[in-house]
Amino acid sequence: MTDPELAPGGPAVDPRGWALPRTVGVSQLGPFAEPISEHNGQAIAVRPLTDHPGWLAKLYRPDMQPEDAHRIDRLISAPDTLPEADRAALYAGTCWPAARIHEPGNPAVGCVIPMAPDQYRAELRRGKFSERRFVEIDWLAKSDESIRRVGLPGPGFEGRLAACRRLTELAAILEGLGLVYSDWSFSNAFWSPDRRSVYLIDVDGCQPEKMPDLHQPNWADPLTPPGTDADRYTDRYRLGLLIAKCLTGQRDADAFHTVAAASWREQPAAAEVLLDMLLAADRERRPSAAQLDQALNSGPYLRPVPRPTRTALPLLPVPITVPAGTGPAVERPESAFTKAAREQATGTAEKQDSTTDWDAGWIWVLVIAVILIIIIASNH
Amino acid sequence: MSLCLPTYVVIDASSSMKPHETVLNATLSRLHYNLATNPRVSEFARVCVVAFSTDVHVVIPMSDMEQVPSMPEVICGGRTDYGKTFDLLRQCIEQDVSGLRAQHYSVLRPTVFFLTDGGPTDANWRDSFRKLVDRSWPRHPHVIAYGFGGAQRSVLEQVATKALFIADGSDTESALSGAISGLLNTLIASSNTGQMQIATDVKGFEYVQVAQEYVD
Repeated sequence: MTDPELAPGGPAVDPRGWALPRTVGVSQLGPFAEPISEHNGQAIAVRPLTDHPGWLAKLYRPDMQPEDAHRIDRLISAPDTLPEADRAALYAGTCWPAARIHEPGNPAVGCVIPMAPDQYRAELRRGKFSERRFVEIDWLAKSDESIRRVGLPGPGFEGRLAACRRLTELAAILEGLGLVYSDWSFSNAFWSPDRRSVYLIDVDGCQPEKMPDLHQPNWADPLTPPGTDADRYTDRYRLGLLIAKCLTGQRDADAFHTVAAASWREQPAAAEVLLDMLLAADRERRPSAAQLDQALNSGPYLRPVPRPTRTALPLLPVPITVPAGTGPAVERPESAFTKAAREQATGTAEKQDSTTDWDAGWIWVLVIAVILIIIIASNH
Repeated sequence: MSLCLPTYVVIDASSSMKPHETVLNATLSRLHYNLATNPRVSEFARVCVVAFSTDVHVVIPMSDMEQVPSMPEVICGGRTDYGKTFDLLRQCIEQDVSGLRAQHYSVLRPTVFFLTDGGPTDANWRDSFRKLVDRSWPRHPHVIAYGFGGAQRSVLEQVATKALFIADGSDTESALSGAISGLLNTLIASSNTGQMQIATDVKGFEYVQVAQEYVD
């Protein structure tokens, strides 16, 4: 991270409207409202600041080190070094910290972060239930059909692309600052289906150059061995994985295969960049977030030669086919408990039974007719 | 390969639950909503719902709950037959784990959430239970039990292999809601870490640590 001129106690120059200095004592913040989350990652609680609407106090576990205070100060000041457009993008698309909170004997009590804008909340409906909540980017890794099923508008490829461009833009800014995020995953970004934008959270955990690898199931970088730190190359793999899933609306191996088979005419280089991010056998040959951002914006992929060697695509799941008219392999008793299932099953069974009865009737008529013919013939 | 936790929600639907049938179904629908609107959790925890009384029935076969349109309605009545339930669970686990492996999932040890408001009415349930949790069977599940109403603590202490929750005197309907919330929180926490993380703070329940946990 570029080390900007620090102004820890200086006046705020935060365009988002943070009114207090960049380092504040707990007592300066006024009362805290009830926590909106607790015991999540490095935070023991995230609590709204009653006197500062739209701002939250993220309170850390007590085991933070004095170095963390310096790191947080550098993070807070880092946007000062950016070009205006990047700074605006970072402030609009992340909960970038505005101030470090301290108290006597503890320089890193927490930090002040903006609340995610309301545009990232939506009513998620399913059946007779409905709840307004933040829409995690997780949803983009589902099909349009699944997204529509909960009452959100289907993004289509254009909506997915727009969200992915925003993500890669933010990732490129972080990488340009020399920061490692490590926590690229479904749960750390919100998505606005209406505005096609994204909002990255937990960015106050970013560290320069490397940091402990934050394990998330299904996001493990195969080339970052367990126990080693995450670095920019780990971030590139996870970003590639996130974009592959969100762009294709698929999870697991399907996303890899869909990217490999993709022919995005307006983004001709995007699939190649993604495949190198995901499959390059040498982790240091993974293309950067900026290269992916360029490719998603219809730019070229200026790939160094020789091309990176790629590992094989992951195996695709074997589709499980259930022959028509048969149930699960385990013999499961017909459910007397399930009204809906029973009604459907009854309807089908009745149809099948009546058809069978009808066929059986014709066979009996035929048999009787044959017997009658034989009897009549033998009497002649 | 993606991680996957085969999850069995096993619900007592015997006659003692009849007065609470509406709440039971509403609670199950709420569980379905919460799973179906959390893709990360529904991807990680593949869920099978089983209801038992005199007989045992698979209400929802092992599924990504996001793909399940709605939760069928459970109708309560009959005795509380534990044995048949454990037999069917073993069959389901055998089949479901094979199915998930065929789809290249890294399958974690299955987890059974066992919710009951009564003691077993069958005498020989222990044989079936032993077969289910037999450590020589590689797919033996963890069992997390929630007991309320007329559930017998001494019995559930034998059934729970991972954690036991005993209602602290709250009514059956509150207990049901608390148990399903606890179950859901366990699945959410587990999906975040990729390993079993039991939510021990369950409203209306006393958490009883299982003294002798089965070795994986």
